[in-house]
Amino acid sequence: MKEKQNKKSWNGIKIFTIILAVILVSMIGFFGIYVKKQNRMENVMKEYNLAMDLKGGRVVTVKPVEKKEEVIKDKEGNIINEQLTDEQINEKGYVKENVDKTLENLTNENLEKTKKIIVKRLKEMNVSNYILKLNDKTGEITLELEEDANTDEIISNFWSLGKFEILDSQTKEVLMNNKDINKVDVMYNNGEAGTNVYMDIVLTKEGKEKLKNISSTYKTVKENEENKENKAEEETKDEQKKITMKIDGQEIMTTSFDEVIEIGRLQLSVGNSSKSNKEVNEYTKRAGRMATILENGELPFEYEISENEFVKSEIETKDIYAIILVFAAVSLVFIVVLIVKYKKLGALAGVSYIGLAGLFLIVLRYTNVIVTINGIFAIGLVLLLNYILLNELLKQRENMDLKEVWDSYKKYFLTIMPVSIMAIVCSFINWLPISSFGMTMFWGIVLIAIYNLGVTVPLLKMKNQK
Amino acid sequence: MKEQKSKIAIFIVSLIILIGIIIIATVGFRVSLKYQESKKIEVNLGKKFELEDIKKIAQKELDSKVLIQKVEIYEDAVSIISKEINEEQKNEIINKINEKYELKVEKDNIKIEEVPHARLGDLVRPYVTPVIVMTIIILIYMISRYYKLNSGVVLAKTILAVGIGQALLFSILAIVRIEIGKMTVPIAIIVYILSLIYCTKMFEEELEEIKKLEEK
Repeated sequence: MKEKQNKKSWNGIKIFTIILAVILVSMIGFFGIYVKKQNRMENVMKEYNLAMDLKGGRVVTVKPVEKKEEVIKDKEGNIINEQLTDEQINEKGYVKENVDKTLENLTNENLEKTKKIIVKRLKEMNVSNYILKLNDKTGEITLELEEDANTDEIISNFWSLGKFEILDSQTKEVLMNNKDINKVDVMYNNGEAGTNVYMDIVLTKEGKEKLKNISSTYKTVKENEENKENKAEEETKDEQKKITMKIDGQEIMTTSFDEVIEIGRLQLSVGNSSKSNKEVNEYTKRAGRMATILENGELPFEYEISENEFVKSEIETKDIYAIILVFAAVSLVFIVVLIVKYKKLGALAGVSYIGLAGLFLIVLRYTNVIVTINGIFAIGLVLLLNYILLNELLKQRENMDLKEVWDSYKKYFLTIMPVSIMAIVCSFINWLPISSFGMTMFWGIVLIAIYNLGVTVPLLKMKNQK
Repeated sequence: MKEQKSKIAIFIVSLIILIGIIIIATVGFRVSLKYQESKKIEVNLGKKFELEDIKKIAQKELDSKVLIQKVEIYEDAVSIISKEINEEQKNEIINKINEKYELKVEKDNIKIEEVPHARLGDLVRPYVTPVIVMTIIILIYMISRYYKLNSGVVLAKTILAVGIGQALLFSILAIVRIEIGKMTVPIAIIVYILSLIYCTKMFEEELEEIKKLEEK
């Protein structure tokens, strides 16, 4: 009898201790841990990693560069394609006008092409959350993206023209351009001098043929002894035809080919050979950027930045509080239902429910989950899923033995299996609002499984024994 | 009685979806200002300010809805976006901001900029492939887990439940004229998940009954 009494009071102490621990965890989860630092209270808990829809992001606007061109127009405004002197223009009653060529090219087709290229570039630069807006009338592009360490790099690249040309160095005739590129890879070559980073430009079938012809026409003229005797040095120089490679109008190199290239690949070295990891990484990044731009084709317009600023989210703190308040109200309803249905056991399950919510917030802080609006809704869903499990556990409240708990868990996880599949699939998607939802759900479901097994079940079991 | 109730429920749901389809086809959705073609002015106040104050000033001067956001990390500039802002309204807003914060912001230095619209299709596109992949995996799971309930029926019921859930949600959004914005996708995902939970719960119960019958 005394032993039973002892066991009862011991269980009471254990329940009390668990409740205290749950309350403590909840307080930490909801409010954080504040310590005094330089005369002010500071939360020492890790901050939530918020995405652009909650904290704001960088908004960049680029506009097409004006390309004014003087044209001659007749009285009806038709363009005259003749070379005329000022006198002739006056005689015929024509007028000279400055026309913006960019505006003329602002067709739907070009705008769609621009959008497609930029979307491809952003994808290859691993931009996982953005809003792209295109002004049909002006050709302006507004891009809203996450503010992080890569933002500036992305901004400086996404609107690059991406014009690739191989020209005859003397006549400036275009021998090859973007249309001849199939794909561009970044590769490494380890030598004695260090690692050499280069772009491997794989050409299309047509490009391969062109390169074969070009490398044959622009082959390096070898000076043999006989030539040396017969030709003056100047003559040899004149004979040597060279190509100039340009990217976005900038000259990359002027060279000739040592041999005829038949494999349809061009290799462009980026930077110098280096043994320093930092330098190699820098060259790799640079090569990657150039590869991304070249591979996806040339933009129909040349752009310039007109706006680049950080804009805070339109979702204000009060909006987030409103969502939290709704979650709190719904949770309160859940707890009341549990209490009404299962009395004291329901109340204990309610305490455990609050504990899970608090602990979940701590987990979200430390698992580096980037919280988006979708993520916030996932938190709400996790709370709902936890309520479903608590209900399932309380239904089997007879002994809370291993078999009963196993049955409840089995039934529960079979019911939420599609949600678990969804959480896992979403976690691997490279689009932040989706992955945030998936990661939040994933950690939530894992926590529900472990926490209830470690806290709720023992708590209910002790109460039953009491 | 139960049958009659479900008939009424089916009728109501069908009616809502039908009205929703008509509204979507004729009027369309009400899109959040953030995704609409709009006008913007940016005012550099050069000191801290309250968003609420600017919101009140802008709302008083502009006829349509306004979107107020702090600009730059020092939070001393504000962007005011509205469907339409004309020169007169711009000047009036700046006057009132100057008055409120004792500033001398020059009206001529502030331009009314055009903000292009974002296409709803572009906003939805990133979700299409993941949702298709997820749905296929989930349907494969459902068919294999509940094969005793007739795979075809399971497949049809699941697709129907998810489809009706989404159709109902978007019809309600269209009818009640709730803005399509940042909250729409997460709400749609929640409805999608709830439809799936409803299906699995129903199938699990049916499976349980079959098992009991088999045991007997």
